[in-house]
Amino acid sequence: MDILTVKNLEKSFDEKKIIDDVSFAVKSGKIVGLLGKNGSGKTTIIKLINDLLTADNGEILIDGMPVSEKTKAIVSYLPERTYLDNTKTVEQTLNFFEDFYTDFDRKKAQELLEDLDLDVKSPLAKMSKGMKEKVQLVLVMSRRAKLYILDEPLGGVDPSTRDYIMQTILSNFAEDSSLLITTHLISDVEKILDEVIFIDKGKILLFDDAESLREKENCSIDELFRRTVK
Amino acid sequence: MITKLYKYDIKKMLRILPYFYVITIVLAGLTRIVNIWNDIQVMLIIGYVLSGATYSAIANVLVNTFVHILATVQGGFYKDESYLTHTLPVTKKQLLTAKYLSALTVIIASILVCFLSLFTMFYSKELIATLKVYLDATITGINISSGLFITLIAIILFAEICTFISMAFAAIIKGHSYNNKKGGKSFLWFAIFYVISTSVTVIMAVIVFAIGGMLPELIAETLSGKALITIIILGLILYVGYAVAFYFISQKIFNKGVNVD
Repeated sequence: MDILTVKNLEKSFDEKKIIDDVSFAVKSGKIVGLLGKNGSGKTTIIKLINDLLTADNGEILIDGMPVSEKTKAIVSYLPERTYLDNTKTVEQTLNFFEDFYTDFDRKKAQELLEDLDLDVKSPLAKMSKGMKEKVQLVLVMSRRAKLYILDEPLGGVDPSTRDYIMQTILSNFAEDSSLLITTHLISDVEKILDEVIFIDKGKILLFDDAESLREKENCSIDELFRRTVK
Repeated sequence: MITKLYKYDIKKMLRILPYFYVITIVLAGLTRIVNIWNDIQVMLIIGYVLSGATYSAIANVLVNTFVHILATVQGGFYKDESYLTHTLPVTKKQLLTAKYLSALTVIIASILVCFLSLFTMFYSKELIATLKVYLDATITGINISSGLFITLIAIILFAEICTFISMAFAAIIKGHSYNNKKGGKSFLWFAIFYVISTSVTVIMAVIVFAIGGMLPELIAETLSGKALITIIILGLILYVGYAVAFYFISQKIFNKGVNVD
């Protein structure tokens, strides 16, 4: 069963085609990497899936349904920017998530925040960008969603924190859930990926099983990406 | 879900405004107190300064109300915060309605504060008597009580506020449906909506007054009772119509989808 189906997706800005006939599917329980250089169209695809952009053509189905409030209830999305309301404290943000998402596990969020030495009473306005990104990751991973979509979760983070983030993602990710992760830091994520999608200039260059690719090409996904996308 | 959205929207819109409300009412109260001794030269000058400050505070409340509403709508729907707004498990209709209701609540609160401040500054038995005389003169010939007349005027003002909010929302949503120059296009669409609604109002007034044989009264200095009641009813119908029409226009454009930055 596909949790996410993208068919013939197209999006243009000022007559320039940013996404060109993109089709792929994410199966339940799989971790899929949407890999591409900066500006390749990864974030645009993610924004289209999350109803933040309107497609010119194509279809997006989540759990067999077109994007709606029903599909949003089963998707947990981490954008590449901070969306937190700076006038709130971490605790107030937890209240907000608890109010709107029935699958939000507050206890788990509090434990994760404690692990990260983040005080729930802290106002978000007094937190650094990195701290806010961690809060956001905790919020997203504390939902029991069917599909997690993480857009550049490792972007702008130092290598030691990257490991911690990857650990947080993996240890809080239910087996029957699926994960779509975008990044240009392929070597940091490739070991966890079941399937990979290479994207360049808004077009899909490759969509295959990660393990069989490694065997077939006799190289790492990172190396294959460098060879494929020039 | 609308209740939850409303709760968060209203908190956001009212984050700073209550401080302005308190300052305005306190200034109005001080002006009133100082004016008790307006036969003393120094107190008279202080009274002038305080009343000037109160007028500024009232203007500040009104300007800030609209700025906060527009900033909350634009921020929530199209800026960084929109990444959370549009991924919440709620419909676009619920998002829009909650913003609309919270904007309406904040505007009513601000207008009440302004009225309360003016009332605090100027209330006297003589003023009320003068207003009553003007009111009685206005409603002569239209066979309705002064209470009903005030209620009708209040309803028209309320409908006008609703129209303004609907028009502003429709303009922001339409302006942000483009890929660039979204702020400028929102402003342009507001001007277009305003010109259209004003033109419709004028055309409708001419038609209705012509049918009723009252056309010369449209430019006359004084109105007959029949003309006054016609204006009240027409105003009521048109403003309610505009508010509903612009709300549905906003909803229709919003439902087509967004393009956040």
